[in-house]
Amino acid sequence: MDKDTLRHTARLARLNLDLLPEEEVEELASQMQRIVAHVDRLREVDTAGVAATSQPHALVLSLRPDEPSRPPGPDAILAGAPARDEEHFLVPRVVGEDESS
Amino acid sequence: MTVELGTARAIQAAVARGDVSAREVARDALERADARSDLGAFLHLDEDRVLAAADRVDTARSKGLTLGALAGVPVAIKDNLCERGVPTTCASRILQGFESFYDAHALTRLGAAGGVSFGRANMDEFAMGSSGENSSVKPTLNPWDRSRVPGGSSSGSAVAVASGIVPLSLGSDTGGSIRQPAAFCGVVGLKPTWGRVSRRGLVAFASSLDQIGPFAVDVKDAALAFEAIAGHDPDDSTSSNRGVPSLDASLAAAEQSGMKGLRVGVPEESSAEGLDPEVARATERALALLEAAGAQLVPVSLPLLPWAIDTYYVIASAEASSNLARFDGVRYGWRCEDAKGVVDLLERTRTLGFGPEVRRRIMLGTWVLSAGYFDAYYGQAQRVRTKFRQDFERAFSLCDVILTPTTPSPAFRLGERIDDPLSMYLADIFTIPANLAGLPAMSVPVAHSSGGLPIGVQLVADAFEEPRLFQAAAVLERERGPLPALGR
Repeated sequence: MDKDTLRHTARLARLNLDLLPEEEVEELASQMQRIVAHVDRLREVDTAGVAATSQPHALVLSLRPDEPSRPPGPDAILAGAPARDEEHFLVPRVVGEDESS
Repeated sequence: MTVELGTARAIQAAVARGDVSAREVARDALERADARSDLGAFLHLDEDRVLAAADRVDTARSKGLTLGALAGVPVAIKDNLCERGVPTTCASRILQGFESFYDAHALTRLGAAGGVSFGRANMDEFAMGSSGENSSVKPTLNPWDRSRVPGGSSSGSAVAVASGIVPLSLGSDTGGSIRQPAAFCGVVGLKPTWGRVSRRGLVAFASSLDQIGPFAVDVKDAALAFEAIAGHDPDDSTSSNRGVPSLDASLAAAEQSGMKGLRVGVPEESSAEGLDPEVARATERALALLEAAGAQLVPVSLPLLPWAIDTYYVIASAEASSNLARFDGVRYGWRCEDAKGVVDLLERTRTLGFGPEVRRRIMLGTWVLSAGYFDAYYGQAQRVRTKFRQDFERAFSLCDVILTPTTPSPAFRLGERIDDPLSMYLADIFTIPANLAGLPAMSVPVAHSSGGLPIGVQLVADAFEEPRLFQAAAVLERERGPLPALGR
């Protein structure tokens, strides 16, 4: 994994490596290289004709009884937000922001 | 007065008889937590809240109500299980100050059984780590040797029980995060079958691997905790609607007939290179004890064990990168305030809110899911995962439980592996396969090293076969005899 791929991947993950000290980015790059080299060994396993597993056991679709219940209201959900405006999550200005991505 | 009641069973019985009040039990546990606070087991411990929960048990008793199986038992809660009214932070800066508006299903069930929720246990941030050192707040120390790690990620849950603060705790296990610290700290740690315990209210790390389970001082207490938290939850469609068997029969069978009629699988790959000789000896002794108790030992093969770590890190990181996308500085917890625009807000909050290990895994997960790499890494890992399941199916056609070491070595030193993620990941090589295949597995303490560190072995059973797991574990615990007690 080269530096460009590292930065591109960070962007995809909504991480900005420019906010970290340079030595931390260097360390991350070398660790990622070693981790990727390690997991690359997965190619050695012959999986021709093997189906993928996305969860360990087959699930039986279970429906709950059709009884009315009261879901938590907006107040409960918004209580954990860092910033709110009445019944809305508050974010910085979106329209006209100086941001190319 | 000090209540030295040892097990959860003893506490429940004493509270039910009225020999001691739940409040006295709670107060003593609070005193012990205070005296052992240097271990770093708790991130948040609200005395008034603990005592109020204990009082509710005492009130129920005074009214003559039937008390639950865990009545008055203080239970430490890993900080990634949502609990109303107290912080739920996953030991992460990004969830600083966050309070859930609901209780995790396992906590609701624990409360219904009379358990007293006792503090938020320290952990590796977002359950990512094998040493407890990735907590953004403070490391947890191993009570057997404070210069060593207690294991992770459920570090505080393991230490709270091992140091005698509480007899029970809840943790979560994605690749060994209950069993590995249980082995390092000399307590019992159970990862139930995937789907046995509702994951509602468990902050998701890798949903297809995560499972909630207990730490306990012994196998019988682990059974009580399992019975309390297992079972279908209509609000988690991945929780199984199979009935939960009582474990009484298994525990009675262990006492009456030992291991007669049970076959124990011994994977040839588990004596792999790099295994600590004392761990190897303890594992051999455990096998000999089970054989002497009537078990038939059967060779089995898990040929993909050398690829377990790779399979796990691709799948777990991919799922983590997706699950942790929700932490955006908008809906929960901490927000980096000096941002210019929304994208900058997301990036600043996430980059500065997550610690290095969490960032690393999000990066790896994002990369293996990105265009051009998806099939070679994520797709391939999912196919290898199928082969792990098939290997276990084959093994369980030959045996009833499998025994391996829990960890390749006893507890390592603080700081020893923190800069080398790969060597840290290797601590989970024996525990990961059970997560990949969704199987129940338990670590049982069996010995101490010459340096005085606990050593555990792992038992694995087929899916939903917890009764067999408990039978074998109970026999092993009895046959191994008493182990050294922790000096205070």
